[in-house]
Amino acid sequence: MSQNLPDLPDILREVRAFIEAVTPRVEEKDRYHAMCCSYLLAVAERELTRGEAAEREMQQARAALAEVSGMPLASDGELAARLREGRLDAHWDAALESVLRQVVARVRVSKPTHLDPLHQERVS
Amino acid sequence: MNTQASAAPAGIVSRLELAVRRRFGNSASLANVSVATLGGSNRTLLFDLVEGAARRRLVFRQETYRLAHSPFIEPHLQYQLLTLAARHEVPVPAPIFEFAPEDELDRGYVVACVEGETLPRRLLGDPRFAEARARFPAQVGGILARLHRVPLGEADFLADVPDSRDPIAAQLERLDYYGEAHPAVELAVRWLVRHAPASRRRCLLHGDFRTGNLMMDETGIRALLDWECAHLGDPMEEFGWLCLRSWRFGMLDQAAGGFCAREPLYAAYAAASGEEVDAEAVHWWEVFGFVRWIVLNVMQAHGHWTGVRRSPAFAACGRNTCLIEYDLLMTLLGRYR
Repeated sequence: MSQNLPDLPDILREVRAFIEAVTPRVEEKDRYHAMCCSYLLAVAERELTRGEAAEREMQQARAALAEVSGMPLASDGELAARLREGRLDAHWDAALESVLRQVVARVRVSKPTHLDPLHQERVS
Repeated sequence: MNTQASAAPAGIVSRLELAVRRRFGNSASLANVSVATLGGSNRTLLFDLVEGAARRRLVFRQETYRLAHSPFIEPHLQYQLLTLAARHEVPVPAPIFEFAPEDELDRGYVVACVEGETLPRRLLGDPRFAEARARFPAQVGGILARLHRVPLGEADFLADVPDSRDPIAAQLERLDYYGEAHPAVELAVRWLVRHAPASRRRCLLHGDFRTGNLMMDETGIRALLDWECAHLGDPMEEFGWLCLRSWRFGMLDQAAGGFCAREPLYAAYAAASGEEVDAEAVHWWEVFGFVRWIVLNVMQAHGHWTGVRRSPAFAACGRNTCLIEYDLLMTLLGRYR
């Protein structure tokens, strides 16, 4: 068993809970930044626990479009460049679907409650 | 507006006092100096100008963000705009004076302080603003009609602003400068290029006309703030920006900034200007608006991670870009309106 307990997500959760508890008592000038801090810690927590899954999902979404279009699209940079060149215009629906899948994966890390119910993960 | 009474930089305050005396005489002085904490591209101080028994609350705005590919027009042009808008009865904070080299205050200006509320949640939810909300479509229709009627020749000092020349190219140049690849932006740009609306009127645009930049009281809009993004362009751009989902603050079915539906706003503008609003063109500008809002957030995050101006809020902007991208794609799919 690890001797490094609490683990990193637990540490972040604890720090965030503390910031959230004191935020109402923070001077008004600092309150917005305090809220941003807890928001950022929540992003970090989710990235630790779900970041790899999100990265996998993004790669798979690019790979699906690569297969349909016959173009190598290994990175965001490559995909962005092909889109700008108009070389994916002929695969519009597939491109839109692929980019949406990637963005949904990112939102699930940044702020999952922002997603339409259509894209919210079911909690089992 | 949030203010902080304690932290006005002493050097700036003393130079401001000298600048005020140059213009209002040696007996003029400053009192009640406070720092406004919100604002992305300016240092903003509030102060009383004291002249004998008379006191006026004024606002000092000094440019703090000046980099290549800045989306913000320079303070001198902002000041010219405020003067122009005031002349055409567009409600703005009255311009008082611009800094001169001998003021040693760099670039900026002083305007009158307009009291009121800008916080969207309060404006959209507080019963105190019910009348202001009811008046919103007619008032915005009238204000935008007056702004868009300003003769182009009087605003030609904005002709060389990148957003006046080619709004899409302006966004892509900035995105490339920040060095981030955003497939959602590129996809939307392809859609914009392939669906460009026929060219319409060309007008002076506020460029950032949205909930959050409107100073309001219980009776309605008192002043349009934040003219840093003004440029020349299609007046439909103004409606696309105001109706962006990002400015509805939870009132998602009230497309016009969370205040009202589109139809009453469009009808009020048509009545005041004699020009119909083209809903299809507004949709195009809304898609463009998402692209622009994404690039602005990338800029804020870039300022953070490059160390130019770090803050938790700017850091959060970086992680918020995907939320705007999501709204953009859902709009392109026709799922969001």
